[in-house]
Amino acid sequence: MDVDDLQLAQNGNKEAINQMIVTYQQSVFNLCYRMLGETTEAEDATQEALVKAVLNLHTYDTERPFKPWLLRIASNECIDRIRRRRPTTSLDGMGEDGAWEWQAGHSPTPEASLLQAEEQTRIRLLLETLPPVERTIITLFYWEGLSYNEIGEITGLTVSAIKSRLFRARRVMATLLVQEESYA
Amino acid sequence: MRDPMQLLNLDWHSEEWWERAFEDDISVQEARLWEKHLVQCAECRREWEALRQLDTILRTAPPAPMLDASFTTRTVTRAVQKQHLRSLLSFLGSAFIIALVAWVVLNFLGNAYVSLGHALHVVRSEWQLLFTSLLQTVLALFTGWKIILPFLLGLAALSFLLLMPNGVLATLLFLWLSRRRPAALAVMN
Ligand SMILES: [Zn+2]
Repeated sequence: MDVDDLQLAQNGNKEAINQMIVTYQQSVFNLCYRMLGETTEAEDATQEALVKAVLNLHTYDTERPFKPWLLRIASNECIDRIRRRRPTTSLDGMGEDGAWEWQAGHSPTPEASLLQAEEQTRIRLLLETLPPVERTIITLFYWEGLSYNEIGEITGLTVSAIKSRLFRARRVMATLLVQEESYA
Repeated sequence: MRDPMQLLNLDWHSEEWWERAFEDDISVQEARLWEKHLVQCAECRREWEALRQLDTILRTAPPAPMLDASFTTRTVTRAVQKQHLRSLLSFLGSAFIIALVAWVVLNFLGNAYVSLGHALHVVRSEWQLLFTSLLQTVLALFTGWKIILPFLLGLAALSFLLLMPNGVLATLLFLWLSRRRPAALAVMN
């Protein structure tokens, strides 16, 4: 996706908008899915973030990479949604829209599907213990494979602040993991 | 390579050390000493193992589900609709602002025009007054010096008629046109 295509998209060219969305929708969805933990809400947030990006293309600095700019819009959208939610009361079991529904069509066997669903739930519960910004950092680091500098572009934090928050987030989740195992 | 003395001063339980150790941002020597500490300190060992386990869980997490094909169509449609709506709103906003500015400017110009009209009216009245006084003075001079020449008086009356259009010339023109009207109507029919 080059600058000319983005210019076309900004001017309302439907094909260019389509190309932009096709190129980045899955990355945006991956981020939203990890941050929100629900397929339906993640889809809503992804759509909202992509539409916002199209409407705000005129504010994008073409000298900088596009993906971090787009992911910043998406992470802000997710952070807003997390903050608007009522505080979570339980960490056990699945949410109203857990990982179960989508798995069935994607995995070869029901057993594998069940295992994957359990794994997704486990990760979701671990992530839910984190504040929104830490959740964003973990997601961008582990699943978007971004460098500290790129994460800094998205979150507006310094590299040292990111390293420190990343480590604290890991520590919180590791503690939960130990607790989980001692209960099991 | 780090100074061995400095190595001895390392605080194994500080956050700074843990961050560095976990990022693998440590020397070979530091790593060796750290391993030794892990063997000796059960608390650090437990936490270190938990962190490693978490790291593995996160790295090997199943991928997020794939978006279905209809998502793209829905999103593109919504984006285009919103873009059009925004364009329309910005057009209406601009039109409103232009209309407001035009109204203010025209109002101002209207007031200025009325003031100009007043000024012109004053100038014209003054000019008429000046011309009448001048003519009266000339007539008085002629009468006073008893050198009235019919030719000069005729000339003065003619110029008065020509230069003072309000009244005499207009009346003459009206009378002339009134007489010409039946002839003009006959031509038009
Ligand atoms: Zn220790």
